[in-house]
Amino acid sequence: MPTLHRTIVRPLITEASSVAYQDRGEYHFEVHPGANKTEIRQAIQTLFGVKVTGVWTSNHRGKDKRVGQSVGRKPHWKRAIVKLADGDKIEIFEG
Amino acid sequence: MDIQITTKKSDGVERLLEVSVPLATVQHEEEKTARRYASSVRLPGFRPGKAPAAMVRKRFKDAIRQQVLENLVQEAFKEVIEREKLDVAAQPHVHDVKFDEGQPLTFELHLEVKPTVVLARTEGFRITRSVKDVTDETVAEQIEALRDQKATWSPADGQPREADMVQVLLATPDAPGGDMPEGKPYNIVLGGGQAIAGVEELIMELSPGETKERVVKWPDDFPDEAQRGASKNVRVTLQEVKRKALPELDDAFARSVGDFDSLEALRAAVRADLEEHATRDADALVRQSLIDQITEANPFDVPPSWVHRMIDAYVQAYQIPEDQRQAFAAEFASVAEKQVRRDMLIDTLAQRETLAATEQDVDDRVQRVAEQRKTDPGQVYASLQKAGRLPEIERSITEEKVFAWLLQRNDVTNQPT
Repeated sequence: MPTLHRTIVRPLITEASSVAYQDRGEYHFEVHPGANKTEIRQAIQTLFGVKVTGVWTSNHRGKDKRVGQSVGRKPHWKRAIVKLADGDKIEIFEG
Repeated sequence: MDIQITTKKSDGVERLLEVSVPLATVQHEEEKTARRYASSVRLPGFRPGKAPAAMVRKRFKDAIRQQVLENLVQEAFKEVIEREKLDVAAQPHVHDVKFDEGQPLTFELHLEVKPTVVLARTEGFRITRSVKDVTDETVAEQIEALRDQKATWSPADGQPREADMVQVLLATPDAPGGDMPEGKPYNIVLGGGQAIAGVEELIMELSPGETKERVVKWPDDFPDEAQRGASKNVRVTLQEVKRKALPELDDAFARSVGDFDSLEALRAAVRADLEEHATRDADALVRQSLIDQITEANPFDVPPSWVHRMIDAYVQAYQIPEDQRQAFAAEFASVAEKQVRRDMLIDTLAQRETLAATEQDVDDRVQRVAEQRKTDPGQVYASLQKAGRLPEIERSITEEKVFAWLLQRNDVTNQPT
């Protein structure tokens, strides 16, 4: 099993994710592609000291990147959408 | 804007005001600035201007606070001027800024206001105008100077005399008793103090082509201290002697000086020139003493910042090096203040008596200049505008009008010298 910091790669703070946060209270993270929902839930709860009430995940293919003739690919990655119990907050999404 | 102003000091033209901006106004301003920031800022993950206000406020907190401070101080300054009806002479200084979060903003404004110049008495002063007489001697002196300028140098034989120009090779050993090096060439006018006395004496004993070597004593007031009073061996080779020949004082000389037919015409022109100079000097003196008397009779305060600005202008004009500025400023402070006083006096009078130069005046002046130069007034105007000299002309016309007005109302007596 990967460590906590390998499970959660980084928070996703973008226009779309901040709308999701403000409208629906969702927190978006990039996570390890091999991590399952249970691992994600545990990692978030331990890292941020909050109670997680729901986890949804989606896999994304890495984009093809072309440098001249050669074609490469960005790594595939996984997004996790997390909802917290009422009153719990993760500071970094606060702006 | 809702601010509190307390006057702490009011002394002459200086004002020290304490300004306090209430917390609500500060917060409102912060809100406004953050919104403006949010609408233009570029953050990764967001299209420009689409980042949430809360995030922008957190990220750019310091920049926003700084901006808020600047805006508030500026607005408060405007408000202060409006409310206290101040006519400010120069940019204010802001001291003691207290800008803590959750606290009202307070700061001290240090201003200088334009003094109100009340010229109660501008008439009935007595000034004596004395025009220096142009005598035959001064004309002759001037012509002598012209002759000196036109003098020619022609080679002469024999030993040189005083006032001759000589070309010599001079050599002294580098160390006492050392070898005599190759002589360096010099052009010296004898008797002008260009060479030390001993060397000049030595030169005058030679004929062209001769070389002589002798011990010469350096004078006790020689600029280089290390060499004062020293005795050194000097070798001098006289190469050439040139003697000054003044042109004959005749009509031909007059023609060579300029467009004059005869010596008499030249004399008349020189006399006219000198007389014009004397008149101009006398007029300038009259104006100066008039200004002095009026400022003495009507004292008023001068904003120190204007004096500083005048000194800065002098520094610029005379290109004073950085390290001498302080001494220069101290020395010229009184001159600058006098000039500022004079300008303020003229401005006040020009305004009070509506004597300021009008567009018509400037146009007339340009027309006159154009006629003198036999060119098109439009061209003269354009070139003056390009050189940025129109304000200068306007100023000089205003000054002339003000002095004309003053001279009508004051007693000027001509005093023969």
